[in-house]
Amino acid sequence: MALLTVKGLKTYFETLEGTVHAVDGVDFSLGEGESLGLAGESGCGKTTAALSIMRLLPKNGKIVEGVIDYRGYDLAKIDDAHLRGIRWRHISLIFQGAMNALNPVKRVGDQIAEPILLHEAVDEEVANKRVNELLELVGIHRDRARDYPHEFSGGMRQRVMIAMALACNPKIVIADEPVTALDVMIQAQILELLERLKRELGLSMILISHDLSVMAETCDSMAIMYAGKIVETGSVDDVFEHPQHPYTQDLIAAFPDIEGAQVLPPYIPGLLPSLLDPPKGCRFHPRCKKAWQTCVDEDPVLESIGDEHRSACHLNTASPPGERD
Amino acid sequence: MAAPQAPFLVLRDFRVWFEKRASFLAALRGRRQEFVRAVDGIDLDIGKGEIYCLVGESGCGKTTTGMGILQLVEPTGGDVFVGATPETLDAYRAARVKPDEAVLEELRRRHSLTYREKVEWGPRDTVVFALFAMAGGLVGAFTSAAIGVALVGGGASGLESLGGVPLGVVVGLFGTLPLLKRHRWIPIVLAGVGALASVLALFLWPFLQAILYHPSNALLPYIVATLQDALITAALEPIFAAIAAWESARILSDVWSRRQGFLTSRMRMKSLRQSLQIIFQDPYESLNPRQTVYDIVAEPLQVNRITRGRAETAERVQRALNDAGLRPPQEYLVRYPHELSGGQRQRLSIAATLVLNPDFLVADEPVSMLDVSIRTEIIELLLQLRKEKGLTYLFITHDLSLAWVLADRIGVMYLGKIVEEGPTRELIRNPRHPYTKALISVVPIPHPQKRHKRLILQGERPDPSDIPAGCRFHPRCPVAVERCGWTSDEVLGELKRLAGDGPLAAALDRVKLDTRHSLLLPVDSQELEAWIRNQKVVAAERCRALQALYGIKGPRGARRVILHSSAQPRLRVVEAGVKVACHLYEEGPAPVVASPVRPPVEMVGPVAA
Repeated sequence: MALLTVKGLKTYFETLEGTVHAVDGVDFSLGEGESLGLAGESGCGKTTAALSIMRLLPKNGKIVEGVIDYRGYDLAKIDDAHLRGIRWRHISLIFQGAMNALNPVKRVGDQIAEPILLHEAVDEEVANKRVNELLELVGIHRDRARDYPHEFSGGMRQRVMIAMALACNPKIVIADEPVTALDVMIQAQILELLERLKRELGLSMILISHDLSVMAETCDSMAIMYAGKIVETGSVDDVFEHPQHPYTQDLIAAFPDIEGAQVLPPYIPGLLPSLLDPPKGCRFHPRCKKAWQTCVDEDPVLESIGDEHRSACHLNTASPPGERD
Repeated sequence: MAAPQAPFLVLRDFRVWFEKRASFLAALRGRRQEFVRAVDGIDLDIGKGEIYCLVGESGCGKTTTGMGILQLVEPTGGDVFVGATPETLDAYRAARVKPDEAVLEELRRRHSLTYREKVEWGPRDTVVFALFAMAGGLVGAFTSAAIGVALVGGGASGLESLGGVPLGVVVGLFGTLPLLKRHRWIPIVLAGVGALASVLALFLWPFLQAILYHPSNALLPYIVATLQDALITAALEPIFAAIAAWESARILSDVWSRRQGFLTSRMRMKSLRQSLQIIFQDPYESLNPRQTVYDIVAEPLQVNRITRGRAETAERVQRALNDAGLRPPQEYLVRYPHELSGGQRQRLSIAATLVLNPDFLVADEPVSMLDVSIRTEIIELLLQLRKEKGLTYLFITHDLSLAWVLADRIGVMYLGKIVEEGPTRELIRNPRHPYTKALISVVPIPHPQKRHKRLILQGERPDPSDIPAGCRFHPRCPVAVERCGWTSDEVLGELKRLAGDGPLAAALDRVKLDTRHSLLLPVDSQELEAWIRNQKVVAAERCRALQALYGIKGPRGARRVILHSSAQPRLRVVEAGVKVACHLYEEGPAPVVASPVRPPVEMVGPVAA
């Protein structure tokens, strides 16, 4: 039984140039204690999809369609008062860019205590006690609760952000690019911490990243997004070892592998399509090596090609006419 | 990938330090000037047409190295040679080994990019320096006096308050002392004269007035009132004056140090600027959003006055754009950076460097801001340019997997030093330095089946203004040994951590730091001694600091824990082309003990329960 199920989610932004189809029909589900990776290049809609779950979209963004089911509540539709009860106490978020997400003029202890005081009927003493526990949980000495963000290094600030996300014992934590802009060593420390917390606290986690290799190391299952749609989803092993969608194949191949051959990885020619006016048919077809006429005309749907492994590609059901190569 | 015969770029003991701004009070107390040692003595040889990758965590000094070579930040010391002949380099090496200062000086003067003409510091300079500070002090004191007059009100008391001005100048002059290199007596004499004037103006003159014009019975209250007046109104002036004098002395000091470096190296650097270029990390920040593509690429030509006439400029701009893969160039000329994608912007940055036909490019994380799917496009462009134009690259990156597919050789930096260097395949497949090993083990691999044991170092890199003794990496090193640089405070800290809140915590609190390599135990501490001996046996595998414990000795009442001595590991060749700076790869005699030569006391003593 899935804890969180997202079905047919469409989130659009109204801008001066027109409607940006940032998330355009996305399905995924997250099981209890599972960690799901949402991967894709910049501008593919992965952060928007995550923010839609918490309904933390900017003013011009709107969930147009779709169901976000969390234990029978549809987060896309429930009223704000109920949603406030779910935010942070059930689903919390580690914001992107720990460097800038903290308030520079407030002590970190107070910042961590803020959601506790806001969401739970407790007094300050209880909250402070909890802050100390949280800090120790993420590997920061409790005395540092009285320090300001600038007194922390990048990795430590990211730990503070994690402590803040855990403040109200959530079931689900959404981590938006938690290790981007951190050094590899610090990155490994943070990923190890997230894994440990997930194990100890039984958290479910949605990890958003552009770095597939990070997912390979930490997630159970993953979904690859391209131009507002999920093109492939499945267990991490399935997606990495038997990628079906040409985009997934190309994207995985684009990562240099320090354990592999000493050759430059291939790249994907062309540019990301504009989400103001996404291409007809399959959105990847202008950059796809295997595309044929059907791909231009028809939009493929996400179909099962194995246990939990699904991909959205016409190659699943047909083969290109004449098999050029 | 063959070993370079005559390296194109040679760095020797290259250093870039940044001054930490000392406060006035700290300087008065005689605190030494502190430096952030961003790059702290590195040697580098990059062959013609080679791609040398400098990797390391942020803050290790890799970017500063690149900027320092191009003198975008001022190098503090060491030598940089570009395109020097093998004979020159041989002579330089010989002169350094000998060492022959005169020859070395001459070689540096003729060939090194960082050579600075030495400027002698004479008494005249000190006088100018002191006068400048004094002028600053005067301005400061007058400002505060004027404020005082305006606030307290004019009249006699206002004028008297000006008496504080000379006092401010005196303090200001003393403030220049820490900045002075020689002839310190000059400001002291000047200050003495100023102090005399100050006393006269502040106190004697009112007293004289009082004696002359006041009846004797009103004298005492008048003196008290005058004193109060003078003290209160003049209290702030010395402070203002001192700050102003200190600041002006600092400014002059900066100007001076610049002047010293100006003469030779600037002239030589100017002629080389065109052949040494840099590509910056962020194509979103490094391009001027108000300039068109044409302006951006044409600017270097105009600044260097290379082309004659518009037609030639336009032709070279188009050629550069074409070389950088922005084709057809006509289509891009009138666009602005915001109209380009990330990859195209980076191509534009590359075009702006190519237009000067450089020989050497510092590429500072040129693809880390780009999406993975287009990174290789840019890398391929750089490789192609090397093939066509024989470019040499210093490639700076934190991404080891990128270095793996790109570099001919890799240098790993940690805290301002190169800790390991070697051909790419050898360095990645067979790393030697513990830091390199850890760094390679945490590189994420895009294959879940290949998940492996990560060697995660605890803690973060130390502050580069407070670099650990011995090997810089020793506090985080999982295999550090006794001579890696442990100091008494590190060992004491580790012992305290092990003791926790246990029964020995109180005894440990009474242990004193003796020297850098010894700890003074409190009286009657047999129990503590036994515990320390025991910890050495049971915990030294985990707590590497305990490796440094050498023995406990001394008469009763002055028992000392003696530590092994330590040394900084030198970068040395361990195999063809592979250099490592680590004690584990050094042969040679066992380390010498720092303290009095006596037979060591057996560490494995009575083992406590």
